Amino acid sequence: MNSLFQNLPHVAYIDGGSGSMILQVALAGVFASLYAIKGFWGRLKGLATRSNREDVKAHQ
Amino acid sequence: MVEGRLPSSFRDPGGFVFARDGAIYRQINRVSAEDWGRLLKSGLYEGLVSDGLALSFESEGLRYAQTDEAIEVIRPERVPLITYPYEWSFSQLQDAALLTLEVMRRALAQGFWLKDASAYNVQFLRGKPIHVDTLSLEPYQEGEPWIAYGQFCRHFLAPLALAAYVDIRLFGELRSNIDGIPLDLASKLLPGKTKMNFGLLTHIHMHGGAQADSGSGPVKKGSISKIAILGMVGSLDKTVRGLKWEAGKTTWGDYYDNTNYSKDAFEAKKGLVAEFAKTIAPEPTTCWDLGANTGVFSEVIAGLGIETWAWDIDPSAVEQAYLKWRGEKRTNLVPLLQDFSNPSPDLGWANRERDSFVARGPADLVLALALIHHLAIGNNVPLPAVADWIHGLGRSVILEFVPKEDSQVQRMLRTRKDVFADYDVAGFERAFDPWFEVVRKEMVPGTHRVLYLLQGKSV
Repeated sequence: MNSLFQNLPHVAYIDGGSGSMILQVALAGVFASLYAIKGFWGRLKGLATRSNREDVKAHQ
Repeated sequence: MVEGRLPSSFRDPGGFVFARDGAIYRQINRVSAEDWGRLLKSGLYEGLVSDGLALSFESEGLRYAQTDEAIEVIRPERVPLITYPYEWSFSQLQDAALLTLEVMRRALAQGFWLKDASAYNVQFLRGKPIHVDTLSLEPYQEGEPWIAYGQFCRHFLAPLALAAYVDIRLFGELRSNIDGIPLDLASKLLPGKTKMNFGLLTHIHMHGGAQADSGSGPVKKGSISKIAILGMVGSLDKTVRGLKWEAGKTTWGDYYDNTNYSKDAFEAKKGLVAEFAKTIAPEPTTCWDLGANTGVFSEVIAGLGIETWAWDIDPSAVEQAYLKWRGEKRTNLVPLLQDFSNPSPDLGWANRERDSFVARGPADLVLALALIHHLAIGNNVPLPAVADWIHGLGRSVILEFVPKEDSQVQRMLRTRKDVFADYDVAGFERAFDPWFEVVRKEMVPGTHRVLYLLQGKSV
């Protein structure tokens, strides 16, 4: 188990559970993709909102 | 209240909570000195406090230090009543989960994270959930998996998913599983269709399987990026938000329609309750409303400026009250789940980690309206035992005696033998006399019921 926990700070006191730790590492790519996709959609929505706002301003 | 280190505060070597002269303090230990210094400098905690997400504190230096490991003692804002996840409604637990994830997200943005994600780190203050464990925040460790991921899923996601897809009564599993519902158990209990939900598939089903499989075999070292941790937190947030539980008709939903109450009688009872409460001296500041239903009378008491906790056995009633009061931004009303025939016991290590329902009393005022027949007839508790129990819960009591002539009691006696010979006004007063002095006694207009204002005797 030491190999999993060696870099954890010395005040970490709960048992993270090896299954929980392994699953996170195994799904890291999926989670990172989810984050990237969410960020991409967020930026796209932001751009759309901004361009709509600019359109409205231009017509005022 | 106990003095010294709280029996529940023993896990974290970084510090502990203690009581001194009735006030609560937290000692920060030398082992956390570096992390604590970085946290204070970062401005993260200040931001969480100013946005109402975390409990504020004052530094007390070292004057109240309990051991020589102390580098600082802080005095957190007092939470007047500690409550537990198995006493919360669905939306209360859901809001507590979302708060935990928001704290985690903000922490990550400033180079920190949560080293634990226990539901017991959240309390309800001014009607809202708030994170109370200041020492949970520590510097983020690049590449490491989130150590509290499993704990978050056991404490929050599993009970919420079980309530949403199986039965709200499975929240009760939080009582017997003090570190949250085991994920392999949650996975077994959830219907197969939940495997079609990406969040539940990964965070419960695969997670439960991974935990079951990890007992044997070699363990490989791996790392995970911060982006992936943020994605995982985002996925947990989306999954928690996606869980819905519809509060059905409450047990008491039609209660007021099926009693002897006319609207006038009901209003008269509200008036009497307020009048009784106003005469209590010294003025009460806290009230426990027992069998509060959706909290109609709790609102009357809270309206007098008294901080009120509305306890009821019915998860739908508690949920409805929470959603209503959350919407109204009520700051002195918290609804809670409680079965008075089997109230929350002392739990955890040495039976001292989580206090029983009774141990968290007494309140200045107890409201026990239309409750006594449920205890005395519904649960066969002798009236003297009811009096003894209520005496431990509050200094003053507003109690409604519901006699056998009342339609609610008639209904209860329809399916059982009447073995309650002493259950009448005279028997009630005889039973309560050793414990209480009757200060006021009024008939509830238009009913057979009697409303009492009782003052506890010193016994």
